[in-house]
Amino acid sequence: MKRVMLVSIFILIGIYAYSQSNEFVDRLLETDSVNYGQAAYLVLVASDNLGEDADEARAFELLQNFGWAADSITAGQVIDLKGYSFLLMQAFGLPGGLMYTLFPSPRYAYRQLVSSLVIQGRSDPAKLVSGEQAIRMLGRIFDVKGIAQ
Amino acid sequence: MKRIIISVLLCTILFSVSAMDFGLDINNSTALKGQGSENLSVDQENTALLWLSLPTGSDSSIYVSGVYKFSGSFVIKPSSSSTVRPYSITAGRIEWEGLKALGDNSSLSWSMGRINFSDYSGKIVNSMLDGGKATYSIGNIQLSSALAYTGLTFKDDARILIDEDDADRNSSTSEGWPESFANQRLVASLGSRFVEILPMHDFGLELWAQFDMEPEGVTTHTQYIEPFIEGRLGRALRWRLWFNTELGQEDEKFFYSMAAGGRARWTFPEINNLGISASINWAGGGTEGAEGMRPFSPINTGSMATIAPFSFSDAMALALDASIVPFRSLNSALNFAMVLVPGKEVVYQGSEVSLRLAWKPLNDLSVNLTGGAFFPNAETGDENTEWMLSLKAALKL
Repeated sequence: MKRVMLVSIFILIGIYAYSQSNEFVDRLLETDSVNYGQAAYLVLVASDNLGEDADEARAFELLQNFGWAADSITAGQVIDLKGYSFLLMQAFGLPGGLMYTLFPSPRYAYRQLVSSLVIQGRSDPAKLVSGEQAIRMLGRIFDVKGIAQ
Repeated sequence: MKRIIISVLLCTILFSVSAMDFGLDINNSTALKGQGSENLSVDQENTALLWLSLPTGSDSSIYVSGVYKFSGSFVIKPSSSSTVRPYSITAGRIEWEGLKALGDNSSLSWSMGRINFSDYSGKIVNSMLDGGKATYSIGNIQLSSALAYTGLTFKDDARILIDEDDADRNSSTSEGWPESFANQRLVASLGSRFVEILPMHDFGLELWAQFDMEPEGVTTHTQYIEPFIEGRLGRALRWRLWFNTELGQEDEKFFYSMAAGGRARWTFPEINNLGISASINWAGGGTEGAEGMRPFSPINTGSMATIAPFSFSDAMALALDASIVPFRSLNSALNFAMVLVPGKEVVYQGSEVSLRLAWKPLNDLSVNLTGGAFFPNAETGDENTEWMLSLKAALKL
């Protein structure tokens, strides 16, 4: 039931329409800790920064080109909540608080998403992100975007 | 106090590589107060709160904070000496909290440290104290208990005014231990709440008690029995009602008192989150002829209204409140309250009007402006309008 619900969320946000993404979502939902490559593909496709035919390697390359991940990070490295928050904030161009505006960084991106209830429940900035949580957060980003617009 | 700072710094260093989050909250509060044309003063308060939080497993977390505070009261009219406290450093909220599922239908939540203790109404106790509380939930029943000590909290923060000793301590201008701290009392509670025992209605009962632990002076113990009910009628109306019976023993003498309150609130989200509420709060007085009945004495002394100088004892307030969100970052509210003292010859004491504007343009920046005035009933002999204008700003780094 949970799986059906999550896939429904993904359909709503438009990515599931892509055939390649179908397989990607299946793998993502089984993941306890999403890595940078998977996060990059998920978020960049959902935010229309990347085409449907790209893969995780291409997504991660683009992520680094944008400067949204440090050079020392690799595609296979697991992403934490603050890193994923920063990726979401940047990819969707969300406005942050005063400190995020002055110093755009994962730390203040995390605070912003906690404040706007994209991150819910018990959390900490260094917590790893499961595939299910990554998709849920993405769904809430669309809600926030809707309100902001 | 040094120990608190060192502890915060040590924790910062020890957990700097873990999943810790930390921050600094800076607050400014400036209040202009006046009474008639003869009195005018400015109260200034600045605080810097350094905090850190870290998870302790999947079910619990620790939060530690320390507060630096500057405070000053500057009397402009009549000219008089001002009081300035350049600094005070104390522990803020220090908490180990958690929630553990104990099966499909039950859970245990707990919180320990310097945390907020509050009864259902918030009128009996509502303060940061040192202790612990736990709630066991099974099905639609919640059972709770709490135990706290008051003597490590600054007297101005705890505001315990139950007997003459408390009044003496509170009026003393001496600083240090124990003069600056609240009287030593042990506070305990047991509570139960039955969720939706009636359709869309909760019912509960809380028992609170404070035990006087001062080695000298008058010994006063009090107990409070507080049943309550709250619920929703239809989509827009929420209501609540509570009653409190106070029992007390001052040395060998027994006394009692009562208090009660209720509120109905209508909310209309489709009209800019319009909310309208009507409330009544009553704290009993010493009724003539009723032997042993005294003015209600809560554990923490709170105010009956925003500006009117009446504490929650021997008074009644009838209030109307309307709030609206004109645009997303601004919340505004208008309040009107009448204060009555049923036991006095002149029952109607006056009315107050206040306006609150809360602006939060960003998640880490907020500004609050509150202003209002209390117009006393001329028949009480007091014709001086009391007014207040306060500006608060907060920045989270």
